Amino acid sequence: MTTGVLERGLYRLLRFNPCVAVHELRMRMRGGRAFVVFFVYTLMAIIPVLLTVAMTAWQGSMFGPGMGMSQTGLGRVAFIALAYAQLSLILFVLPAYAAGAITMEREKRTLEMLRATLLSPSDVVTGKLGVVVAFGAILLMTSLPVAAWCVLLGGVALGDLFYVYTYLFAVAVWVAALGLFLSTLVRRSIGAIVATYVILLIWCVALPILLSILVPMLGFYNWDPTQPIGYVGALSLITGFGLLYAWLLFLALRWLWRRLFKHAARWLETVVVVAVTLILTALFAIGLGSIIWHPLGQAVSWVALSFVHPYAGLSFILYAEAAEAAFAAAGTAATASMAGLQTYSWAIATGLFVLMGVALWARSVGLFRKRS
Amino acid sequence: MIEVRGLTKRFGTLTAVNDISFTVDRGDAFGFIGPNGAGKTTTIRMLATTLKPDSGTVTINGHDIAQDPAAVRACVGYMPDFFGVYDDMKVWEYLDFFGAAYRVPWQRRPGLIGDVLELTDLSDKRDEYVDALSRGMKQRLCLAKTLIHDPDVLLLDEPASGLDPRARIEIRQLLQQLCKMDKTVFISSHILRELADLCNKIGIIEQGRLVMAGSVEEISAQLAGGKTLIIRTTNRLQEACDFLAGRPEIGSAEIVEDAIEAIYQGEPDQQHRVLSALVEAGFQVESFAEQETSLETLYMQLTKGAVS
Repeated sequence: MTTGVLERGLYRLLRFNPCVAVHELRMRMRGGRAFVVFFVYTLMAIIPVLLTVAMTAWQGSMFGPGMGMSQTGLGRVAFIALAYAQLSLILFVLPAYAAGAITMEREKRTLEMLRATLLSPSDVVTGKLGVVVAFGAILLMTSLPVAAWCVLLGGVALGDLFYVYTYLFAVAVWVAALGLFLSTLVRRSIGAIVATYVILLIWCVALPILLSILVPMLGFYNWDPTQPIGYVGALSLITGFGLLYAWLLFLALRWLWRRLFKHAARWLETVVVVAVTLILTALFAIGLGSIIWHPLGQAVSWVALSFVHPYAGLSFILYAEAAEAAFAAAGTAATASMAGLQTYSWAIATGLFVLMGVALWARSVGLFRKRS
Repeated sequence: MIEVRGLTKRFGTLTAVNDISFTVDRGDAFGFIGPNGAGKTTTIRMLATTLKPDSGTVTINGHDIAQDPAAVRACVGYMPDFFGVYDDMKVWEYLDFFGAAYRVPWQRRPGLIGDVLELTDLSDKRDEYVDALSRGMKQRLCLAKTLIHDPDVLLLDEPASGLDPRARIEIRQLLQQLCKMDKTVFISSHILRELADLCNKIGIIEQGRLVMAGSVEEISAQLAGGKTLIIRTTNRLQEACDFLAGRPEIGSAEIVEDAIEAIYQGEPDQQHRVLSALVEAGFQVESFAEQETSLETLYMQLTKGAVS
């Protein structure tokens, strides 16, 4: 008997056993620990906002009224500070929760009992991922009052609030899935947590630094100035080709690695292959950007790249509106092609992080099944 | 019931379980005995579907472990040799979680949790934290967890290991109760006394091979060498010993402490002739008894202790 993919998916969905999620929530939310985390998180998110407001007030008192930032500017700057602070906090807090999820069961010797039950691999992995994602969502929500304050200060549209918070949630899904994936891949908790942080460090810090050194050295510059095809067109092209290229490159590099280093640790393989794939994809996108679209080619390719870089993605969502406004004021030829840039970049960046999260979730379920 | 045919598992070059076959009928209590590292845990893990065999088939209650693992899991309660408990979790929550994991409907869970807690004598610990329980209590809790979905077959891997004598006895009483509940029980242990009173069948495994399997009586009968007779006389013990050694139905006879141990190899119902002969020869026989072959003796005879 053959059933369709859809039917099977629906059947699985209906058979989903939420007890792992319930059990995880019971353990994680018990006692004061979770609330201490929420409290510290909110505090850490507020500090940059307060600093921004204090700085502006100080500037105002030093140089007289009107010399510091305007009142509308203040709300916006405070909101931007809040957004970056939250992104850093999410990237810092969630791996610790996610990367121990499966390895802890192994270390506490409860995994064997869990495997003997009627729970399917996806029940276990999805339940655990769901709770870490929910935890991230609660963290984000605790900062909503601070964001509301920024809105009151002016300069922040409700649309901005929506874009930024959904984007941060997508990043939370991705980080949680990455941590959980490494938790199924690596045998011990400490290894899984270290591997997650190392990958995030390479992804968020080492990669941009490396690229900012490499790109000017290699010098992909304008040799064929063609007609502008618009930001949106160029972005789609570069992102599409970039993703395809990245995927093929990843498979090829992994194949090569497994032949060269047969007995190397799995986490090392993951770290090296992912890092090399990212660097080469970045160079590819920049090259492509320089070739297909001359005047702003490099800028566009940086933007395309930024969709898989948490900080760059956030910057783009936060500043796209300003860029649109600036272009409109200057009245350049590109003005028309800038329309809807914020929505478009939000959709791509958010979509990509959710997609990466889902892919990692699917791999985790597969790995968990294979190991049982 | 459990039916195992040609079960084999290799880890690299090591063959942990080598072509073993046995059958455990419904209501049997099967003792799976062997020294540490003999392959007991590997076998149980394969029966519990948490480890895939390299070859061979296992059916439990008619379900094949490879074809329909979910059906097997539904009717099997498995207690691993090393099991963990979660921090920050109460006793009833622990049981509730496993109940849900076995898809016991939520309406039935509170009642079942009460039942298994009563059976394992943990009723007053219902709201305590799991990690605050003593080792013996944790072991009983794990047994309670194993019973939560009312399985027909219980797979217990060293259920009393690492316990003090009192907790050990408590676990044994609990297991005896379970055996009476018409469940098929499969218990592994490297300690014979644990299983001696519990099991009606035993299997002895050494270096991955099943040395022998069957009921305790069957195994005793299969053992060559016959029965051991313990004979005491009030006079001329050495002479009696020599007299016995000279008889055809006696394999050998020697004095151990103040009694003669003679191996009887004749017809099973002709033992009385030895006694008559002794009395006729003028020996004052004080006692004449057949030594019961204990599991321990069997075990020592069957295994060479190559692994431990």
